[in-house]
Amino acid sequence: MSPTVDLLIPQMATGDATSNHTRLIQQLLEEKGFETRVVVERRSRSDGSDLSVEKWKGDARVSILQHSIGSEVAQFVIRKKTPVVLNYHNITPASYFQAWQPELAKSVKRGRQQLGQLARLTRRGIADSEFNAQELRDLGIDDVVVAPVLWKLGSGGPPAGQGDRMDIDGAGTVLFVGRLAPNKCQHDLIAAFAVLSRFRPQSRLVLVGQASPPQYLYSLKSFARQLGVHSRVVFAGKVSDKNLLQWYQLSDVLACTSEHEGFGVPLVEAMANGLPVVAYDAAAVAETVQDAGIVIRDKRPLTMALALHRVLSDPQLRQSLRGRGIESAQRFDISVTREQMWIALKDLVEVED
Amino acid sequence: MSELDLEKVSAEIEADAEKRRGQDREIARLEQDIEQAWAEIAESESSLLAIDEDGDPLEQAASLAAIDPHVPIGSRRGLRSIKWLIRKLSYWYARFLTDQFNVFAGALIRHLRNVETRLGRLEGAAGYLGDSTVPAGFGVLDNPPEPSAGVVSHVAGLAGSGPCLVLSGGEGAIVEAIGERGISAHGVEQDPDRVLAGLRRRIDIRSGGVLPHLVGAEDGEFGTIVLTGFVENLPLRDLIGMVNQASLKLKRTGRIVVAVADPASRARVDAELGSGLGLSPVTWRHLLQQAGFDASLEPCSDSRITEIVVAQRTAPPSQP
Repeated sequence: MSPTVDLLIPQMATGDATSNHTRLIQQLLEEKGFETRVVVERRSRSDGSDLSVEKWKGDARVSILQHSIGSEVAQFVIRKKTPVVLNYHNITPASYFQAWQPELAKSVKRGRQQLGQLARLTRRGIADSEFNAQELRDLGIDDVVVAPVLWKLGSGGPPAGQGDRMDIDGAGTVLFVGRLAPNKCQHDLIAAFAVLSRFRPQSRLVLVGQASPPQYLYSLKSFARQLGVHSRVVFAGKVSDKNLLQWYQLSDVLACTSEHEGFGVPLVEAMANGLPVVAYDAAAVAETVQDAGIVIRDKRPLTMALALHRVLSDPQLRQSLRGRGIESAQRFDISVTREQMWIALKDLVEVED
Repeated sequence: MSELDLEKVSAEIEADAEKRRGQDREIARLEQDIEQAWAEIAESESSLLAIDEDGDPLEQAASLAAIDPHVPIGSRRGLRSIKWLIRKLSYWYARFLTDQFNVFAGALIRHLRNVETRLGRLEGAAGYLGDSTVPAGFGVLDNPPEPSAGVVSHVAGLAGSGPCLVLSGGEGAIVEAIGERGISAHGVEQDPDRVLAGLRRRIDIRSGGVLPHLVGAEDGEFGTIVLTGFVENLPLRDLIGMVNQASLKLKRTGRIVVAVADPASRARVDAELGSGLGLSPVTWRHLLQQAGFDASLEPCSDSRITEIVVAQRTAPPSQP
């Protein structure tokens, strides 16, 4: 007997946003009384409840495919011509990885090719953002719904209007959270930080996140050294949830110079923790931040540095950004996003065969 | 303030940047230099990875191969014997090639090691400490624990004049205690968790390697340099370089304080893994005396760090 809903994903991994998102959809549907099953390319759970895609028959009432990279799971869907709900998290253009990580470049290229083939099999597209939704519409998918990625928003920041963060030493701590990857352009952030150091010599930059590929990290370190700011740049690596929360609370501004963000979870986490955001206007960034952060269209070092300097020097602006951020982040509270996801799936899963 | 127009703020910032670029040539040049610096670094790193976009080398080699490994040659007895023979010959030939390659690789590695040793000696003679942020010894032994309250207060009491540099700074207890005595101090630490802990307590702990930080400091910048924490895990070459560098970076009347555990007190596993890493307080005193300091040992009431070395400069700094 097949379950009502199959949730297809390349791999379930601890600490991975798409995996957590899939588990939360599973939890949501099971709470609504539907039987579900996770179908993976490579099984990793010791309890064995996940099904390997080789054994998947594609006969559930609804199959939801998580798509953000080329995968065997997507290839099975295409080969079996199974109609799916396509939950699209966007695919980073291969050009960002070609020089750094050719294997990953191939994988994302394959993901793009598969996306074109999946468009013909898509019953409904679910996109994290309007930016992602537009990509699906451009592929000819008419039924597209925007429902943000599901995750439990960690927050421990001060309530709006209370306290100021510039309390370490008044120097200013600039934070970035996310993979250290060419498309995230942390080199632009280090460049901006080098200019910021001219205005605020004691400020520091903290980069939280795992490097992918490692060569990019080595280059970032060389770059920081060459610009003479290495002693004030902290490469914190991958950190625990608890430490991540502490970095949000400790820092004075979150900066994002990424050129490709399908959504931008750290932007929302920062806002929820009362941390002002300064971000470069690319992909879905402006849509995620809305009017709760400084979004600039030019990320040359001086412009970005002046934006950071302005936020660090203007307590009233910081206070305003903090209040707006906390309020704006409520849009992504799990209770809200679960409801959006339920609305996106309800009519499909409730229809009897 | 809730009526603040953030789009207007963004536009103001962009306009201000453009104005400064027009007025200040130095800023415009700085942006160009930064861009150029990244272009050079990125090119040198990524070019190491560049491969043909048409496919990986193995796939290309397979497509160019004269023999198709998948030719269906049937399974009659005679053919089976030929296939078996070809397989055996291929196996021995592949093994022969592998042995040749291994011999070549071994010789090459020996040669490269010789070159590395010679370069190391040259660098050592020139007083160069390398520019790695992860020094040798990192990861071999656990980072030493944070200093006890007794060590912190003892070391802080020995800090003569400022500014004071603490290598490695850990979570900042020593920096904090020195600061409470009215002496300006900062620490350098390479463990991000400890940097985070220090910053949470509003202590000036900077991220980075202890040696590069010392090399990058100005000559005669510090009144006191405290060597502790991760210094326990550095190899002799780095420690000798550190003494030379610390000597250069101290003021004429500066002082070096060394608070480290004796490597002889390590448990067996640590003793074997950390062989050659760290020095006892007695050897530190000797090294510092050799470098022209008036160095002495002070007993300390701590189970790990039983003696602290205090070295006061008595002679002009020596060149490395």
